[in-house]
Amino acid sequence: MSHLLFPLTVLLGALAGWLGLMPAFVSEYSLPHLLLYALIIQVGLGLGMRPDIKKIIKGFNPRLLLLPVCTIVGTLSFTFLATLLFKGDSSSDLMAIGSGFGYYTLSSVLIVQFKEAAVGPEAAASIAAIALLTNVVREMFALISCQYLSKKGHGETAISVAGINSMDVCLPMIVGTGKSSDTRLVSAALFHGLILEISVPVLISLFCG
Amino acid sequence: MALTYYFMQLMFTVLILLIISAIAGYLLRNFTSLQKVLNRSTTITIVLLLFIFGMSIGSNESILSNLHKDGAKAGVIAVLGILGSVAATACFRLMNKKGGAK
Repeated sequence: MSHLLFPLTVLLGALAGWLGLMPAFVSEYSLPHLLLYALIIQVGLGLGMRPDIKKIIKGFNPRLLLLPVCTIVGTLSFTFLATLLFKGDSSSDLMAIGSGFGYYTLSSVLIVQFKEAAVGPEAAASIAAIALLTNVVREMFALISCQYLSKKGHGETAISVAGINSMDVCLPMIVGTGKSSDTRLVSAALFHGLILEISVPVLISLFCG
Repeated sequence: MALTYYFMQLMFTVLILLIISAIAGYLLRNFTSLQKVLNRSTTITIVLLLFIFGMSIGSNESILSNLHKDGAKAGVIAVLGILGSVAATACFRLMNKKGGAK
């Protein structure tokens, strides 16, 4: 259900904005800012409260660090190619857009906040809109492909393509259920999502700075 | 200068909030009722933020008129990101194989 809820919310918001129904207090600086902080706190709490957090920590193995690093380096280096393609756009903005790893809610909201002071609310919203679309496409692609990839024996590729979603929506599709679930792949997928979740605000702030 | 300062402040605030709340969440992990509340409140916060974000898109003429261009751009960046991940995993496998042969 939440998969339809979020895109619908953006569409409804866009409709309201288009109809000129934007109340003045919304564009004021503090409300989105406070909401963002509230979201970050809740994301952190949710992370710490995950029932499988002990499993993630116990399953840790330095080698597992390599997979999220590969995802980050791979995604960013290929995103860099986009900067050669779209010469009119700032390359750091494009890199920030690529740094969402499928986390479209947090990444677009972070980009708005980080870019607003530098380029103004309109330009910031425009960059964040591209980030939203980019990361929605990535999540959709992950949802469609990761089960297939994993069944074909490409579990690590499925995790990497899923990006941040390797630890939530895509997890059951990647690791399978019941007897067929591969515990090594579970740790890899969970740890991968965890590292990417932390890297999203770090990378976006770096590229927006 | 002022902007850089503002920016560093925002970045560290976000990071520190994330780390502190993750530790707090870990300490509170046995309060299962809190988990349900948290799931709901997180969804509500995201909905509010995305609605506000949607409004700023909808009220912005230049975003609306560039939507087809931006959509294409988003598709290209997403596909590149996915391809990058696939390529990186191939490297990861290669490194692991080498490590295993040692």
